[in-house]
Amino acid sequence: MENGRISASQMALMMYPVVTGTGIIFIPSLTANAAGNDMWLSPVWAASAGWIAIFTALHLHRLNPNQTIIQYSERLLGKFLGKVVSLVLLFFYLVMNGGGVRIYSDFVTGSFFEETPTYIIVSSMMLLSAFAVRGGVEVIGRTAEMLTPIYILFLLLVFLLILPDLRPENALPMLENGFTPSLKGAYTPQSWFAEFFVIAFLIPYVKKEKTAARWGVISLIAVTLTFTATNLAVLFLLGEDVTAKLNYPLLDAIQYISIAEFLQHLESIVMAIWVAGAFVKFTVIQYAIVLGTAQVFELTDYKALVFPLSFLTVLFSFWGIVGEADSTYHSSTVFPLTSLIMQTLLPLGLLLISYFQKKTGLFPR
Amino acid sequence: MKGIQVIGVTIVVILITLYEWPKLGKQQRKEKTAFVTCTGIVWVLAVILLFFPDMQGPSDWLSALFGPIGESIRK
Amino acid sequence: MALQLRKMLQKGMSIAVLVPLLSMTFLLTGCWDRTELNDLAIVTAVAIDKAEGSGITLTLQFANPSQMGGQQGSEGGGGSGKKPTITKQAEGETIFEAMSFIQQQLSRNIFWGHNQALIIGKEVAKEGVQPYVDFFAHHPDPRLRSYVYVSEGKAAEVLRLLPQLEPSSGDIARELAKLKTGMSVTIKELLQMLNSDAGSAALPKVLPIFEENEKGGLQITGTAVFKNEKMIGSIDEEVTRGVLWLRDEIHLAAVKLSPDNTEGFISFNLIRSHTKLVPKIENGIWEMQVNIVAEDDIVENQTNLQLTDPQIIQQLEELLGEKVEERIYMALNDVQQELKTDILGFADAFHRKYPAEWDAVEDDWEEKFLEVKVTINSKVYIKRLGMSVAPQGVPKEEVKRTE
Repeated sequence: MENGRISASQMALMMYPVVTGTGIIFIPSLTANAAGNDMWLSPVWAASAGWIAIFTALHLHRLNPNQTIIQYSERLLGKFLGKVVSLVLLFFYLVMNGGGVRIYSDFVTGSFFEETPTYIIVSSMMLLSAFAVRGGVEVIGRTAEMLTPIYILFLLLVFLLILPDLRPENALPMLENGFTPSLKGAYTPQSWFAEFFVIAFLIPYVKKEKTAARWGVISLIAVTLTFTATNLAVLFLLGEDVTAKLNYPLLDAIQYISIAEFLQHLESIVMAIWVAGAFVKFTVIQYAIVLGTAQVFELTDYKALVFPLSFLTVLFSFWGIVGEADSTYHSSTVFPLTSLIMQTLLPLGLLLISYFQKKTGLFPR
Repeated sequence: MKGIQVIGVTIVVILITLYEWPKLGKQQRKEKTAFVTCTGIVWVLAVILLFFPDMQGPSDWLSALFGPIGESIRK
Repeated sequence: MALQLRKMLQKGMSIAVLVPLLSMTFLLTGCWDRTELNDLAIVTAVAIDKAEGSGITLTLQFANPSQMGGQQGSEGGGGSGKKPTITKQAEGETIFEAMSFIQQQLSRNIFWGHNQALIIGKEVAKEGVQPYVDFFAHHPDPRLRSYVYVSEGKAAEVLRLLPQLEPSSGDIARELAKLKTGMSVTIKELLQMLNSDAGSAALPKVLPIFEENEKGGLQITGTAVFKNEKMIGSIDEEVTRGVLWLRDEIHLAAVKLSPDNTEGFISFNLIRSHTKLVPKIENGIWEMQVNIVAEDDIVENQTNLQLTDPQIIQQLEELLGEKVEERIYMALNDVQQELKTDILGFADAFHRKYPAEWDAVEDDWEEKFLEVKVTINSKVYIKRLGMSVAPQGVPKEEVKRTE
């Protein structure tokens, strides 16, 4: 099925944009709403979902070597139930990726290309990522290796350039109402962190599997730092009240950069880089969907499914989503829950069964 | 206008088929079935969505299912 | 043979697919959001005034690209009648409505990305600015980094002014804000002020001064004080400086002193200063300690004092400190006792240090603010004496040292 192999560091570079790609737009505003000026703490709590995801994915892989979640869920749950669970998981990822592409294109049209139809942005992104998926995991790994460092570099640059305008006292008083607000603020971002479970589709193709854990953790820590830094920067610049009222606080922060009246209007460059990051995100998820579908139906090759399923993702980005209000409601309220079920509880359940099976030697398939 | 859009969608589907079909080997019957089914579903869904763009979709179903619980957790 | 044929067929097929696919990219060249520089009308400043009836009059100032930049060479020959900036006006209930009316008069697309200043007319300010600030944080084009002013008269007058040094009055407004002689507030900071605990805001006031025809300059004439998004009064330039000291925003300050037993003045240039607000609540008494550390350089000496004398410098430092405190107390009197509006950041300072106590008075802050006792501790250092150490032009015998 997949003959390509990636290195663990490539996997880490693939996962970084998967989580930050769309999260970085939404999370500052959503966490500010729930956590007030403790918003910077929410990603730290939310990261626990990422830790669980990496832990379960790695242990599941250790107990079921060289298989993706689609393959071992069938082995653990039985053919019928396994296929049902796999299909539900794939459907979940399809809705997630469709919604993600829609968030991305609404953001791009809403702030830059006001008159460009959304479907053009969505389809061009999906067409590009379809070609990358068709190239296989190696191509995606190398694309990520090339794009993600630039993406991280530019994010760092943004943080550096915004420094003169930051007012750290905006974060005070800390923990005014205890830990509750920041924990509530973690409800939404935990679902983004849980996307780390996508590595369950990638680990079987990692060359030195032993290093996968280390690189997964490095990626997770990098993501946590990124979200915390973003929230801090936005909080220090705009304060909690303004942040909570804005739709894309980070974009406003980038637009606010002005160094000596020379380094300003940087948002278009930053945007170009951000599109590259979003591209890696959608490609990795799309790869998981395509590979998973081929494995559910026990095909010998997934390539033929790439274009139809990418088209389906395009359709899913419109089907039932009227506008940004829908997307925001879905990502802030519904998605955290479905993600908790599909990306945290389901894998934990599978892991339990897997342990049980190993201990007792029952259902050896 | 709708007609043109349907034709457009059909052209895209045909292009995908033209691109993929020759690449599938003679023995890959299962793959061919999967491809045809998948492409067929996509085409039908695309055409339906063209005529009924406000049709309830998967995110609506999920919202109906999980929305109330999600809201109560958020509070 | 058959295999070769098959391969050729495949190749032909992929070309047959690729050609229409690539030709589709031609559709992209007519991109929806393609904008060329010469299709844009670049807004350099915006003014909002009250309209005759209901709603507002929106005035936009546009850069006239053919007249910008090429001015240096033909300074005297300005008789061509071409102006570096053009203003257009329209009325509407909302900013966007008025803007769309202006768009109808223009052959180019209105572009907000380079907007430098937002000037709010006094009348609008008195009725409340909240309905009009949303646009600048809502519409995707305007940036939050435009500077906000309240104009003394009609805001449109400020835009009509053709500046002498800068390309547009919007640019003057920006430069004035950056010099920080008065308050300097961006749209982002205005939003923060309106959302702050105190709910009050302070914006610099600007007055256009016409010298010949439409040429002239802008002058900052103090600060407009807002309570709950409505302008309720204003303070003059001198009081503003006191407020700036309290807000830790003082940047340029020229201070002159006339020490006892001498004639004439010594001028000081403020190099840097730091103000720290230390809130204290003791036995139910709310107190604000203002700790100021400032550093001044001597730039002018009309007296006959020998400046290398440490004792004289020490005296001067004390005098300077008193002077600063005097200014601040004057500002406090105006702001706290007369305007009764917290534009000093006291609410935030108390909230940060005493969250629990703050919760109790949050709704009655307006009254509580009046009771806040302020003590000022200032320490001014004179670090550099300038290029002369003793007064120039004074005979050596007359130069005074401490006995």
